[in-house]
Amino acid sequence: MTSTTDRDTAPTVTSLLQLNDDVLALIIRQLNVFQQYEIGRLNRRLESVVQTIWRTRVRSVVLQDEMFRRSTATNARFLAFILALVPHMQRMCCQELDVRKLRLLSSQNLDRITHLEWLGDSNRRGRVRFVDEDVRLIGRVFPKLRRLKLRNCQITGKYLCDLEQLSELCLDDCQFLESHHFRDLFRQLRLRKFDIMEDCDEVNCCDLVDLHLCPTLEHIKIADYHLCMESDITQQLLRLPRLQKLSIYSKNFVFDVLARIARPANSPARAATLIEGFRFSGVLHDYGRFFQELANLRQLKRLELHGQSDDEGDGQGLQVLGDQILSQLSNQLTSLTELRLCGYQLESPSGVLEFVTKCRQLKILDVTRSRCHGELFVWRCLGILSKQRWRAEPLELWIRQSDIKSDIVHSPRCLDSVRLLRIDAKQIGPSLDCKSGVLKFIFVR
Amino acid sequence: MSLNPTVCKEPKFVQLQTCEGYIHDVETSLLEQMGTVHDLLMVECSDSNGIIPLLKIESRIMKLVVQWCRLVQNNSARTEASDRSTMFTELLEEASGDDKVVIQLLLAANYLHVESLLEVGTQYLADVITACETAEEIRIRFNLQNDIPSDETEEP
Repeated sequence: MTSTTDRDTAPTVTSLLQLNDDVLALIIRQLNVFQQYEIGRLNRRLESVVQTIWRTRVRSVVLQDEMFRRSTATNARFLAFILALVPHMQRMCCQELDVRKLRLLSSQNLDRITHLEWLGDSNRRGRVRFVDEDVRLIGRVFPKLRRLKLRNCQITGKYLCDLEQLSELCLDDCQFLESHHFRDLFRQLRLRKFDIMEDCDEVNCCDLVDLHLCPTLEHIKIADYHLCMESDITQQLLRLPRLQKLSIYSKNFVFDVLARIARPANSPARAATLIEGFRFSGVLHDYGRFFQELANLRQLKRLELHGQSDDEGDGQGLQVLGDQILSQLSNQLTSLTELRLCGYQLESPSGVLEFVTKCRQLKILDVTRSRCHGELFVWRCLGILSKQRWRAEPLELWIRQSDIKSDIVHSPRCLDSVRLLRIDAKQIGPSLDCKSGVLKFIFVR
Repeated sequence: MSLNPTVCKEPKFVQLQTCEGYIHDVETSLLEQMGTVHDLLMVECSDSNGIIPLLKIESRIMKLVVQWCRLVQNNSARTEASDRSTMFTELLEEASGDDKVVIQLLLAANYLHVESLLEVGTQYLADVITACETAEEIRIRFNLQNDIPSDETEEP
């Protein structure tokens, strides 16, 4: 409702600058970084707002071709834009950017940038593909580069060894790599992480035979075809003195890979005893055989398995873990402190609860996304724990998205037993989105 | 007039006075969305008639702010950004609102602390800026004075 009188207001010119800096910042933050640059060039006040945003928000920048499709995005403007960003930027990701834009930087020195991702467009052909000379360019333009990821590049690998400061290298879908360049790569660089897990089919086991020349390696990610089953590549990898994590993608040879690493006869002396963590996500047709191989890792402390299903989330289609095979495994892996069986259907609570009985150091039991027969699992678990007089700390049970209702936390029986069992309905484990088909081994160091 | 329950029963309407002298009766239930007014009422800063002066806001804009708050209240399930954008665009179309109205709405939203209106209004302007083909188009549309010397904007 309003009162009756009316008053004309004099017309005023509309300007964005009528808004205060806080509101202008809210608007500008919603633009992409190149648009922010362009708007900052229009007016001193807008420039000041952009600089305030950039001081804290452009340490990591993603550049995409579509950002520069406007007619005003000339080469000179692109270069000026990068130079304006450089004082604030440390990590640059180029997603399907035209490589000619990268080449515009060839006479620059951008030594603040330590991480670079070049995610190429597989549809590019001819002179607009990322080639060996572009690796040389990267070495010149980013002299302090420590982490490099190249995807969909047409490189042979010959200049990678010139990136002296590099400690992490990831090659993804680089189909033209040549094996004779790998020796120099491993010998000259002090790599800590090496990743060729994704689609580098041209690289085979022979190309990795010199991996042992890089003793600084801590984390290796490869595929099963990189481990020639007839050679001792695997043993050489396991002998690397600083190795902390070994991830192997395998679609069809999961058992062979696991046997190669876990069985004492196959691995160097003490290698299996150094493996304290194992993670796998995927679909297996024979968990009995899988657990048999896993049982060789007697000193395992952390076991993480993620099942996968075809359903839409109603629990149908989950893979079943039988009580017998779980019970057998619990007899072997008595050193476990963390057990994560996520996304499975348990035959009954008994199999998993054998671990609660036999693994005296078990601290975390994670059944996220699993079907465990509901609260019966919890009550039986409590029954076991109440008899464990030696237990000094409660067992943590993670139940998010499982068939155990989260309000069980408030039940009187659980509240009274919090010294024995602490139920967590909120936490999600560290690897919920891990890639399917990857076996990950974690070593004691 | 205040919202302190120990003083009096909560009123159904609050009176807000805009810069032209108009008085708007606004449902108390909408005040939760107007942080400034809500806080003013909590500390009893209104005059003796119970009218709250909002001298920075025009009547036309106040009506739109109140309409927006009602829309949000009546569509509380529609919290997705795209839904709110649609609501805002429809509100503007009904009011034949132009850039001037949007900017004044944002000024009012900032003054009154109507977070939902700030969010949707700034998104609207960001989309308008994105749709401009050139920087010059942005300058002309939003009347931005070029006060940066040309030697500073020269490109390498």
